[in-house]
Amino acid sequence: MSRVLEVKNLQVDLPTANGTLRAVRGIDLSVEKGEMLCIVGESGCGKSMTSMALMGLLPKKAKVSADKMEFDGLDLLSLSKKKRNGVRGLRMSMIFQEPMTSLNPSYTLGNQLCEGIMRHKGLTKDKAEERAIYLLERAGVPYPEKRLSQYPHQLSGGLRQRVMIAMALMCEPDLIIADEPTTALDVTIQAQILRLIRELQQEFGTAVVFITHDLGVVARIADRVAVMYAGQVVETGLTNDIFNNPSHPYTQGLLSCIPIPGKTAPGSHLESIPGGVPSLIGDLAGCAFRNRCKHATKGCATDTPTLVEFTAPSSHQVRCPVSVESLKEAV
Amino acid sequence: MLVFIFRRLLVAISVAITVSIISFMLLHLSGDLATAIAGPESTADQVEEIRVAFGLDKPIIQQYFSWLSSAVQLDFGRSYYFQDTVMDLISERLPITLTLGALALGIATFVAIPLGVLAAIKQDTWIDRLALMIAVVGQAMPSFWFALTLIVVFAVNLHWLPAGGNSTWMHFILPAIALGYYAMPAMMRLTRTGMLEVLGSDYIRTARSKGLSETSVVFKHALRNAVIPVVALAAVELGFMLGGSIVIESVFSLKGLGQLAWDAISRNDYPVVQAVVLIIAVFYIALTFVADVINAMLDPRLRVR
Repeated sequence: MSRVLEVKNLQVDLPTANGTLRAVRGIDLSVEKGEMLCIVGESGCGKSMTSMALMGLLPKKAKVSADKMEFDGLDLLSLSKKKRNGVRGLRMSMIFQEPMTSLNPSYTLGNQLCEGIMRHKGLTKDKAEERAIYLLERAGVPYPEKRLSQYPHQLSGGLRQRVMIAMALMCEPDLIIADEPTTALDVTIQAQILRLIRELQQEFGTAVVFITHDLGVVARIADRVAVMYAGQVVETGLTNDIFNNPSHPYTQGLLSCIPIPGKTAPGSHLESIPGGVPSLIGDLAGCAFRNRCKHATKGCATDTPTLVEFTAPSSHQVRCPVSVESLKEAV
Repeated sequence: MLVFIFRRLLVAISVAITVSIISFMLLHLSGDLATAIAGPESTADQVEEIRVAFGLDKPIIQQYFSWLSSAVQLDFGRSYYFQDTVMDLISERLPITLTLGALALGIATFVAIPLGVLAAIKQDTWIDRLALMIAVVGQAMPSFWFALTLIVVFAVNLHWLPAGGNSTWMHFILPAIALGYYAMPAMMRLTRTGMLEVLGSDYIRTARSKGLSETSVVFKHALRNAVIPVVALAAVELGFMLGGSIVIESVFSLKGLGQLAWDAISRNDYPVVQAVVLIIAVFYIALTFVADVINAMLDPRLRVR
């Protein structure tokens, strides 16, 4: 398998009135061709910032730096603005969280679906519309021909998200970044959209970086998972490893917050992680999770943990020396 | 879209009828018309005679309808003061005011929208500050003073353009600039605010994520949505310039509608006042209607209402 995306030590800094907000603090990511990587984490952990940095859509004042940010051999960091624009939309595209506001209210869906491919691939309007109709149909939009002349406000949220998915696929990209694409939808629609993304991803062999806060979603669709906390990846590995053998206290906490049908007795107490995410302004010494961690030791306050690959299941990494020790002992 | 236009038209017509009633009442609220027409030195018999001759003895509803039916035929009667019919006066003055207003609005739009867009794209840079300064000066400077400055520079010193009158299109340039500069700041700032809001919206992020050119993002996706309130404002400003350009008209000795209204008001020339009020109101209504239609063309969501 060839690697579509490789990111090393990605950092995103945002200047604010109270100091520099270090939203992303050194993230490593790699995505193989046709793979679904889920980035999980709670609000404010920097997962959306990561996706925006990958797409190059952060506001101008945000500072992005990385040791490496390579997309299919292209160094995204050194690419000129114009060349980056040529990659964006053509080879990597994005699906957003808010289908209700992500489409321009003033233009027809046909116009918005076709403009990208007409620009990037120089297709004629007829050819572009042909592809749009095909993809709308594949995305489960009824009466696709009719939709081209419709406006966003004439469609429901679920349908608009299907249109967004079709739009992301227009140029057959190698990578799609989906930033919480189901969060704003009804639960029934969520399941349909998830299945759709998974199906299309496998059909077209597209790599997907799927951002979510919902571990239920992750379990259903991910090949690999990266758990984010306070701007860092705290645990990453194959989906099975993460769910069967959660090693970071944060991942363990997240998993124990999910009720399991059949196992969790009705009316029983549901776990929650005490406390909240620390402020991301300025530097953090030690482990960012220590104030909410049951296993925290004195060392956690002073030693900043690194991501360690710990045992046989390949590529399972965790950022917690305490867990790594106990896991090693267990092995 | 046709249904929308038809509905808006109905609204416009009902407003026009309301305005016509108000405009008619204006004449009657100003005192006993027969006495006013007859003059201070007339006898009671003469006043009665005039009352009958002008139909002022009939019920007010009947008077309204007979006035309205002649008004729709553009017959507003004779001026008390000028030796002309009201319609002659207006058809002589209205084109001047319309030319001036349209030119001024053209200049204002031509400057305000690009400047507003530029200020928004270059937010918080010196370009933004400069645009703001131009706007503040335009809002703060009295229009007569700016008009006089223009005359001194371009007419008196440089001899490029005439200082006053209305015989050629050259005569309209300076007054249109003066009037346009007065109308420009509000439009510019509204464009800037609108652009800033739209540029931060989700669908602009979508457009960027498709790798569209900056031109396409700014002009196709953002401007069309940002300009909607500006269209409504432009309509109001043009309406305002039709009736309120009196200062500029005096400075450049353009005999427009504003001057006519001023003369008529100061001489209690009610038929003229009434006709001017009605015409300006009808223009306002027409402009609002046009602005509504333009906005509905720009934003499909407005067509449903």
